[in-house]
Amino acid sequence: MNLLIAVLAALLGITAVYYSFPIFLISVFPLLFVYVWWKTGQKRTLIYGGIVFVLFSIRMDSAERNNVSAFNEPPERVEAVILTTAAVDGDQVQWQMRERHHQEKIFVSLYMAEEKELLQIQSLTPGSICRVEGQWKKPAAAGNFSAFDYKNYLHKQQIHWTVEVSGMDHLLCRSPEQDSFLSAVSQWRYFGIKHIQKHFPEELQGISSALIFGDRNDLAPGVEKAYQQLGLIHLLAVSGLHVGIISGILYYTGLRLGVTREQMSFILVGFLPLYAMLAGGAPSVWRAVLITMLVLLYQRFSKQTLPPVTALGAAALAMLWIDPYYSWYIGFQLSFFISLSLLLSFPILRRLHSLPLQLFGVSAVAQTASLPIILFHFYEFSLLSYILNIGFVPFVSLLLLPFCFLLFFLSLLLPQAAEAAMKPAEFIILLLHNNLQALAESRILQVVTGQPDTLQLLLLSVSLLFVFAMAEKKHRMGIVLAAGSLAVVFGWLFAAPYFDSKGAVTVIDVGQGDSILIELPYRKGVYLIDGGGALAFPKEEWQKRKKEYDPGEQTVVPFLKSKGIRTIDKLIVTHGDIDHYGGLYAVLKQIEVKQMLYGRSDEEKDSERQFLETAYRQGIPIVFAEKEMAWKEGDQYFQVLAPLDNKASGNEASIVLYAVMGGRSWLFAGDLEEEGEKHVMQAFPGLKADILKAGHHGSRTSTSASWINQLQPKAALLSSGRCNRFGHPHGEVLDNLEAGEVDIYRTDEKGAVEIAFTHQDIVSIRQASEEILNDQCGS
Amino acid sequence: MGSKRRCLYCMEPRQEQLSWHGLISRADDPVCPDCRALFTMLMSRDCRICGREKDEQSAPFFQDTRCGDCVAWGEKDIGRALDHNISLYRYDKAMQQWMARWKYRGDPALTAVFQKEWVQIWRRSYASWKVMALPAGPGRTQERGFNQAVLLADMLPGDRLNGLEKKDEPKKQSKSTKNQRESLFYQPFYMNNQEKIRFNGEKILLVDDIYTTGTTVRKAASVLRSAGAERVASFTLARSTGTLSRKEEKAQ
Repeated sequence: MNLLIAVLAALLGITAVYYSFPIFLISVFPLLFVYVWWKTGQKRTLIYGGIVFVLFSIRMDSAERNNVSAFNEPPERVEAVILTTAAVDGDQVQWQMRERHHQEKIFVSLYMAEEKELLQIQSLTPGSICRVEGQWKKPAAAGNFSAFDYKNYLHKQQIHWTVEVSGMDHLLCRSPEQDSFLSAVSQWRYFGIKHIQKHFPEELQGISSALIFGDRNDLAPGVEKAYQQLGLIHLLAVSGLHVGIISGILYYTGLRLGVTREQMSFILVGFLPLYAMLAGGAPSVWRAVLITMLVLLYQRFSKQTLPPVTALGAAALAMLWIDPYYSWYIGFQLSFFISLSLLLSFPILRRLHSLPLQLFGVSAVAQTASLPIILFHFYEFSLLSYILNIGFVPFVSLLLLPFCFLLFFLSLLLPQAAEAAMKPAEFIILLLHNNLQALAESRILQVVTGQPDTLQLLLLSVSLLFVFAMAEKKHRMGIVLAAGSLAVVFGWLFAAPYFDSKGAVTVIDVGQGDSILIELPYRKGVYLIDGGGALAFPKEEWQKRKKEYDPGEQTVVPFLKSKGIRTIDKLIVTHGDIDHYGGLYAVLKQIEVKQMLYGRSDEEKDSERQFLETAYRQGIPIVFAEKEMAWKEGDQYFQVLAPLDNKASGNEASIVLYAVMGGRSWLFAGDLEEEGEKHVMQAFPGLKADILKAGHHGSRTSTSASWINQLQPKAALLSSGRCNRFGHPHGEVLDNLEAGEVDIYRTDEKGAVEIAFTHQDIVSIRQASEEILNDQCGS
Repeated sequence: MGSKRRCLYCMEPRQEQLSWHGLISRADDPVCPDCRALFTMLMSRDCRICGREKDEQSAPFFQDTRCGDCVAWGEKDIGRALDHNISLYRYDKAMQQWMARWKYRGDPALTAVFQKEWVQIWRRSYASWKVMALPAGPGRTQERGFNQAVLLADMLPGDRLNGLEKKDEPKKQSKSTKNQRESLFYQPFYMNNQEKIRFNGEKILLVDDIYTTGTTVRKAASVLRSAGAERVASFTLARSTGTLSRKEEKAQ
């Protein structure tokens, strides 16, 4: 118990310093103080807790102070040591390196010009010393609300620069002068992964690399996503079970060979950190390794068994001391919290007598207890995972994991025998993964809650705590009450948007493209105008990435889920350009669409037709937009102004949507160009718009001076990619807007724009990033 | 990391068994879970009057919700003096051993082992009753240094009733045979006359350590009833089932 309080104090100290003592944290202190006093009644505990808090505050403070770049200006070239195995994806390769002079970590990515460069790259082992010439960039902050913040993510790994190298000519490497022990270990890991790539069949590569070396680069993205969505991803993380199995095998082999138990303990304590590094050094590996080491050492010196909670707490403290930034790693949070939950649930689990029941119990406890963490990061969870884990946990840990290890060693010693064993295994894994992916795509029993806020998270955690506590005591009334409060919290999560008097229009930052979400007050309607999409350039087979950039999958869908959006009432596809509908494939797959409004063009492109067919096959009613089409929703009014006829083509065929929301007039102009603007002005001579989504990403062919004159907008929204090659938005357009005294909000500058409104007026306008994101475009 | 706590009963050092409920409660058990599991709580009140369990031995004599003994008690005045008895635990091997340490070898600190359950039951059903410890003879109390019934009664909050006294018996009860013990004509209890206590329709809860045949508590109850108590119930730590009841004895 005291150690748990110490870990809590440490986490508080770390976060308090990082967020410079926010009000929320400060209000937690007295609560915690009272709790500890009530629980233990020991002044001692409070004093120790206070000391731990101060120590970890100081530790975090010094970590933050030292976590700054030595480079104020990008250097022309540096000498750096390769730290990690090369992550090759299509024509892109990435490494972490350490600059030799300042000992600063940098993130290097290289685009291969030719396939044969891959051979050179594969010869670069960790520890090699390279002269790096490239374009230094500061990583960008998040361009969307509640989205992944790359800058923050790298900051927590003490990385402040990414370096883009244009080819192998600019990366001159030589073998390490002398092998340090550490680089030797990462080389072994490198060769191990290479060995799997060379000798294992494709379907087995990913899972074997993940299970043996903790490397998921070779896992197909769809497969990894399926594991994650179905709540099975923890099985792919190297963790306690691996360490247990490996320690067990080594220990008993040692004993058989005549080594004494004591000596074997020491050998294991020496070997385990090595294994942690070989297995990729994820937080879950270190947790397991540290705990095993602690238990072994304690047993050796005190002849008593170390209580597991103590070992867990001590491991957490050690890891947080070494790297306080672990506090923010999902892997760290899940790994420690689930372990703790299982230990706390021991009295409940002990009551379950049959093996299947126990398996279910363990998986149910792990899934349920981790809900607050899962919902905070992923906005959804799978009820299916409760059932799947019963089968998958024993399958992966008892069969697949030992089998992969066996196969790996067999392929080193007796390649022929290994090859024979691989065929049936590949078949089984392929079958399994196909089914998993199909199951994940079906989204059966997938519950999207949206991102809980701090209060909801707190109430959710407290309700869960009481559910477990009452289940432990078999207190019937208590279980009913606790489950009731849990239901209330979930009800709140689900129903909150329906009671929110605020609506919002969000221009999502999808890079070069358009995607605008309209949420009406009280969630009377959810409309999505376009879904972004990456322009595809012809690529050769070897250049293709496993996971091409898809703003739909990576940005739009997570954003919708974070808002708890399960259904889109109207999906408005302004026209058939890929940067408007490309991302919608992902949306169609994961979110229910009631109706699609489509801006039909005179001539339909093949790819456009393919998209329409996909939607059609899903049974989504497709309506081709026509002028004068209009609908009302409470105070809100919507009208299609264009296309005026079906003769327009390309950008001019865009749907132009006029809306009245929050007492203001809005105009969403799609990719409409000057010609189309003229036609609209002719058709609607009195047209005004307070807020204008400027046409065609701010291209000079749109948003003419006369258009601005006519509409007299107060604010203009411009959606374009950072440093895009088209030069959007064009200076002329910006000048025109400024001349008209229009406030300009650009996604390329500060990311997504959110305009919140009530039925009376606009209440706030904010952007995702406070800093300018596109100041490093280069020439 | 804090001092090592030991189990009050087995004295083994205790590892803190953390649990979900442990996080939100502070009342920790003075004994370890292993020791706790030794004792069997009586959950079903098979005999509504004395709490006797319906088992192979007693089942044939049950009449509805009354055991053979209580049916027989119902035919006697002294038998009806006691309203009912409630016992917390079965008087099995483990309980016998515990009693031996507590009572005979004189370890009154062990009373705390059952404090939580004891107070809980009292609070749930008998909070409105007046608590009275079954007195022991002066000689017996002298010999032991304490009266076990007083220890049990003292765990319950509120005032004690006094006034009942007991004469020293010629023999220790547990060593006497059934017939001697159950001689209904021998009345060891008497009211302390100096205090001139009259109970005016009080409900009295008589506290003792063990209920075997119920003769003792009934004798005490009949004195209390004649002193004006309206109802008398007994609250005992253990219900002995090992001995055969009179009817059962006869049947054999």
